[in-house]
Amino acid sequence: MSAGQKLHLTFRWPDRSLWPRLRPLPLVAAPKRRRSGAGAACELPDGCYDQTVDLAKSARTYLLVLLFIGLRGFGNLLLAWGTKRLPAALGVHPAAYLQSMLDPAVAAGIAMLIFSLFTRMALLSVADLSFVLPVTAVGYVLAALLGKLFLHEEVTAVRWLAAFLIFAGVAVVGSTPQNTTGRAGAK
Amino acid sequence: MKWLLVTITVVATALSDLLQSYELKRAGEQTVTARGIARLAALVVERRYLILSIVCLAFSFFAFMALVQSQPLSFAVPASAASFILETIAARLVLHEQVGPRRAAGTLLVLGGIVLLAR
Repeated sequence: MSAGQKLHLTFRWPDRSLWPRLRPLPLVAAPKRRRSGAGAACELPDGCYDQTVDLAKSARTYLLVLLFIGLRGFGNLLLAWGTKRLPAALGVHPAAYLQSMLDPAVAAGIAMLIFSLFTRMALLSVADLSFVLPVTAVGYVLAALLGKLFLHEEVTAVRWLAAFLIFAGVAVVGSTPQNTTGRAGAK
Repeated sequence: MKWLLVTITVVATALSDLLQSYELKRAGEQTVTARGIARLAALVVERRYLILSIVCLAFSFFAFMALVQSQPLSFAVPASAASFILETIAARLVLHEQVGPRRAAGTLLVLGGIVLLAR
């Protein structure tokens, strides 16, 4: 018997029965509340969902939301900045639009907007439409902020109030389950 | 004319989003990796409802552009934000999403914010 084999026998992995205790914490929590039949008592303000909180999927959904908002915001900014510095104003002639796409800023803006469209599609595959719509409205606030920062557009007190309302609405909607149809994706 | 453009924008946006939501939830969870985007692009070509949704999106885009050209942004943005209401109601009735009081209240707050933002 060689020394290597002896070492292998001496340092064995812990017994299989210990493995569950060594595993990381499960990401899927126990269901909060289940519908127990027609007319079941419901204490939740939004009704009774067969609701399983999946933190990993929830985080992925918010990551897609952030990616979508960022891509659309900066895509629009690049598009606005690129078209504003063009020598001629865009008319109804298609050639002028095609020529504007040769500008690097405009091209990058269009590429970001196309990517944002795919990101929104991925988002709709995991979350409700009635969840995605208000949550992605933060993009309106980002557009106002980017306009102020880079294009020096005016942001009035009324607009700050609007931003507050949008954030409040998003916070309220964000507290509801992301997917209530149970067809796919995050619950 | 402006109300016709608003109607086209709102209805086309709502239809596009409803079709996308229905078809993409049926397709299962999608990602935005290089492979995921290729799969999404293939889905758009393969699935009839997704093609129709892109056509609706184009209609809503051009109607909105025409609206912005003829009307001030302070009218165009809040008017087209009416699609929020239409889509939320349709999401409940057509897609059978559970829109409870909390989600409805949050959506109304966001809608109020968008209307104010356009002033």
